[in-house]
Amino acid sequence: MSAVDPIIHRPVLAGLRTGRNRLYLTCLAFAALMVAVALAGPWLAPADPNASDLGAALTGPSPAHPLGADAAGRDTLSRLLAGASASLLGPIAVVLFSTVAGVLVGVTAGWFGGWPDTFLSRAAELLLAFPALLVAIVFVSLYGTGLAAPVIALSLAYLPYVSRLARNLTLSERRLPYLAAYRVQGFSGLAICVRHLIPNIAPVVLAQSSVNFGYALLDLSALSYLGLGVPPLTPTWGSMINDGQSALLQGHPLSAILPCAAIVLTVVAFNVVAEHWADRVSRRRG
Amino acid sequence: MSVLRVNGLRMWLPGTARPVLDGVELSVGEGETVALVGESGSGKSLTSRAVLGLLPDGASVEGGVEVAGQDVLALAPSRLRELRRRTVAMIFQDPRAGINPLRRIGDFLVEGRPGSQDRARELVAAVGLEARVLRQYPHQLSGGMLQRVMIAGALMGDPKLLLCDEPTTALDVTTQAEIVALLAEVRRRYGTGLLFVTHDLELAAAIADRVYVMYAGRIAESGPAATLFTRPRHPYTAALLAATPRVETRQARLATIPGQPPDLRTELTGCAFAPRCPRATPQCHDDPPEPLVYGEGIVACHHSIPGGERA
Amino acid sequence: MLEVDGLSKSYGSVRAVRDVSFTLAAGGSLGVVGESGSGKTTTARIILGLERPDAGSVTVDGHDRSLRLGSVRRPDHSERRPDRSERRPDRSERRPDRSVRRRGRAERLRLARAVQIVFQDPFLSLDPRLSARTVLRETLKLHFPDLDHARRIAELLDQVGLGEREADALPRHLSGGQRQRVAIARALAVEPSVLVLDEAVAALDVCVQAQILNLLADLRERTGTAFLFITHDLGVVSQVTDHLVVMRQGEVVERGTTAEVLADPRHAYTRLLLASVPRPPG
Repeated sequence: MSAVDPIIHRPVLAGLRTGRNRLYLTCLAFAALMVAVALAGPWLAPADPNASDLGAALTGPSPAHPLGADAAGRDTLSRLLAGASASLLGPIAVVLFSTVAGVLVGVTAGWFGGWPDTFLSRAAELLLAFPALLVAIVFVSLYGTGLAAPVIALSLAYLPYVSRLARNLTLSERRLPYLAAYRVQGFSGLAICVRHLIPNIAPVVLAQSSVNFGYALLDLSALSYLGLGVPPLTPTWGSMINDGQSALLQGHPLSAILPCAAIVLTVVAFNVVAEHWADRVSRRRG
Repeated sequence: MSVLRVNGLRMWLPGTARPVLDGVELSVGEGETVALVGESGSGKSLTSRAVLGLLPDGASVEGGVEVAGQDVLALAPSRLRELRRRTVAMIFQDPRAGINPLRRIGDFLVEGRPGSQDRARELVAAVGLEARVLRQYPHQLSGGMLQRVMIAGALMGDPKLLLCDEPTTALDVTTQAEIVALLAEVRRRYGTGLLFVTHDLELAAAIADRVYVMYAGRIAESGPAATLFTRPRHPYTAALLAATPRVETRQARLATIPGQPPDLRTELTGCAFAPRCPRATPQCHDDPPEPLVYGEGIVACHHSIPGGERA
Repeated sequence: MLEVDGLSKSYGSVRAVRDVSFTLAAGGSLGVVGESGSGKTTTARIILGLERPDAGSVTVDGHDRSLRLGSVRRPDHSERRPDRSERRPDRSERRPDRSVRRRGRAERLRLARAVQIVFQDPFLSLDPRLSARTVLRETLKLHFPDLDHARRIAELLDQVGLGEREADALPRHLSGGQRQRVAIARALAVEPSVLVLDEAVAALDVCVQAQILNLLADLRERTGTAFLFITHDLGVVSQVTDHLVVMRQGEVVERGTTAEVLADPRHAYTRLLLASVPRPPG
C-alpha cells in the first residue's frame, strides 16, 4: 500500500520475471507459430498428405520425406502441417464457445443470486457430472462425424468450469465498494457488468480458458484417435497417432511420436502462456 | 539497563535512491513504554520488524539492534528463533490474521510450550478474559477479545520486550481504550518494555512515557510524551498536532502540511522535511540537521521551535 | 431535505437498525457516530438504496425513496402466497441489490442525484482499470449527456484539487488521498443533494485527512451539498458536522447539535465514547 511495498518486493519479482520471461516468450512464440500453421497448414505442406508413396513406407528422414513417412507411405511432415488446422481450430472453437457462454452463465448467476443462481449452478453441476469425452462420443454418434458435433459437446462439457470460476469471481468482486458506487451512481446492472465487472474478472477467466485449450486439444485428439470427430481422410494429430500405432510396435516410432510431440508441446506452450497471464493478474492485484 | 537499543540503524532497499531507515536511534528501558509515531512510509514498521530480525527481501543494513544485550542483526537463525520465543514478542494490527481459525484458543496459547497450561490460564485471566475462551474458537470472539488473546499469547514466553504494531487501529474507540489500559497493566505487572508503533500522535502521547516521531526514515524528534505533545520543538511534530482534528475545539480550517513526503527514488540532500517546512532556510535544504539535545528531548532541526509553542 | 423516519432492518434474528429517525437540512452537515455493530453503516446503505428497510422511510427533497423500493416489490405476490412473505427478509439479505436493479432508468438517475457516497477504502472504491478522467466522463455521459464534458471534468478536477497528471493516471499510481479525491469528484459529478461519507477519511494519514476534511468543508460551502458523515471518530465529527446522532446497537441513543452533545453528553454511552478518546497527559 505504501510507497515502499513495490520497491521491497521488486528484486525478487524482477528475478522471477526475467527467469520466467524467457520461457514465456518461447512458449508465446511457439503458440503463435502453431496458430499460424493451423491457418496456413494445407498450403505449407510439401506433399499431398494423403498421397501414398509405398516405396517410402516406414522410412526415416530423407530428402523426399524430411520427417519420414508412415506405414501407408504418407509424408509425415505434410500430415503434421495439414493436420494442424483440424487439431488446433477445434480446441480454439471449444475455448471460444465455452468462455463466452460460461462467463454469461457465471456472471448472471453471481450477480443476480437467488433462484437464477441456484438454477444455473445446479445445471452446471449436472453437466460437470458427465465425463467430457462421454458427452462428445454420444454427440458424435447422434449427429455423425465432422468437427461441429465434438466441438459443441466439449464446449458444453467445459462450460461449467468457466461458469463456476466466473460466478465465484463475480461474487467476490461484487462485494467491492467500487461496484456499489456505480450502483449508487445510477448505472444499470447490465452496464456495470459489461463495462466494469467483466473486464476486471476477464484476465483470470482468460487464463483458465487457455488452460482449457490444452485439455480440449487432448480430448479432441483422443476422439480422433478413436476415429470420431473429423471426417475420414482428414489428417489430425490424434488419428496420426492411431495410424502410427502398428508402426510403433514394428520399431518405427517416428510417425507416431512426432504428432505426440506436437500435441504435448502445444499444450505446454498454451499452459505456460496462460499461467503467465494469471500471474500478471495476481501481481496487478498485489 | 535498556531492553532495546537501536544504534544508528540504516537500511537500504534495492531500487531506492536513499536509505529507507537513516540513522535511527531508539531505546526502550525495562518496563518502559515507548511510542514510535509516523505516517505511512515513514519507516516505523520497518524499524519494529528489524527489532525481531525481520528484514524485507534484498535489504542491507548497517548499525546495531540490541535486544537484552544481544545483537539481533548478527544472531544465528537458531539463536534468533530462541530470542523471538523468549525475549521479544509482537502483536499486530489485525488479530484475526495472526491466529489459526481452526484451532482453539487454548491450543494456540500453549502451542510449542508443553506444560504451560497453567500459565495460559493465568494469562487469560490477566488479560481480562474468562477461562472458557480457552475452549473456544477464534470466530467466537470479538476483535477486542482476540487482541486480548494475542497479548496473552505474546506474554506466554515472559518477554522482556513487547512490540505492538498499530494494535488498536482495527478496533473500536471504546475497545481501544480498554486495550491501552490493559497494556499499561501488563507493563506494570510483568515489567515488560513496550514499543508501541502507531500513526496516532495523541494515542502515542496518551500511552507512552517517551515518544519518537519518525519522518522519511529518520527520527525527527523524541522526548517525554507530555512535553513533546504540549511543546513540540520539531516543525513536523507541531504540524502533525495541528492537523489532528480535536473533540474539544473546532477550527475553521485544519492546518495542513503542503506537499507530500519525499519519494524513495529521490536523494535527500538536507533535512527531509525542508520542502514542506514553514521554517526552512537554504541551510535546511543543504545540510541534514544533527540531533540536538534539549532537556530530556532530542530534536533534529536547524530551526527548532524555541520554547516549543505549537506552530 | 433528507428525512429518515422509523427505519428498521433485521438480518435473521439480529436487529441491525431499530426505529432510526433523523433529518438533515439542505446544505447541512450531520454526523452519525457509532462503533461497529451500531447500525450506522446499515443505515447509510438503506439511505443509498443498497439495502431495503423492513420498516420506515427515507425521503429526499420530498421524494420517498423507500416507498419506490416497496412498489417494485410486486405487492400482490405476498397476498397470494402469504407463506413466502415470511421468508422475504432472508431473501433480500442474500440479494441486497435487487431493489436497485428493478428500477427503471429515469428512476435510477433521479435516486442517484438525490444521494451519493464516498466509501472508506480508497484502494477498493475505484475501478482499477480507469483513470479519473474516464470515470468522470462515464458518469457525466449517464447523467448529463448534453453537457460539455471536457469543461465540466476540468472544473470537477479543479474543485477536488487534482492536476492533469493525476487526471490521467490509473488508481494504482495515485496515493490514498488522491484516490479519495477522485471518489469525491465522481460523487459530485452527479450533483447530489446529499453526500454520504462512510468513514471517508478513516484510512488516511493525519495530514492527508486534514486536507480532505478542509476540501469537504470548502465543497459544502461552494456547492450547497448536504453532508452525512458516518464515522467513529469524534474528532472528525467535531470538526465538520453541525448536528450529531449517536447510535448504539441499532438505536439512536443521543442527538443534538455537535457542540452541545460533545460538551455536555447526556447518555452514558456518549460519555463513554468521549472518555475513550485518547488524551495525552497534562
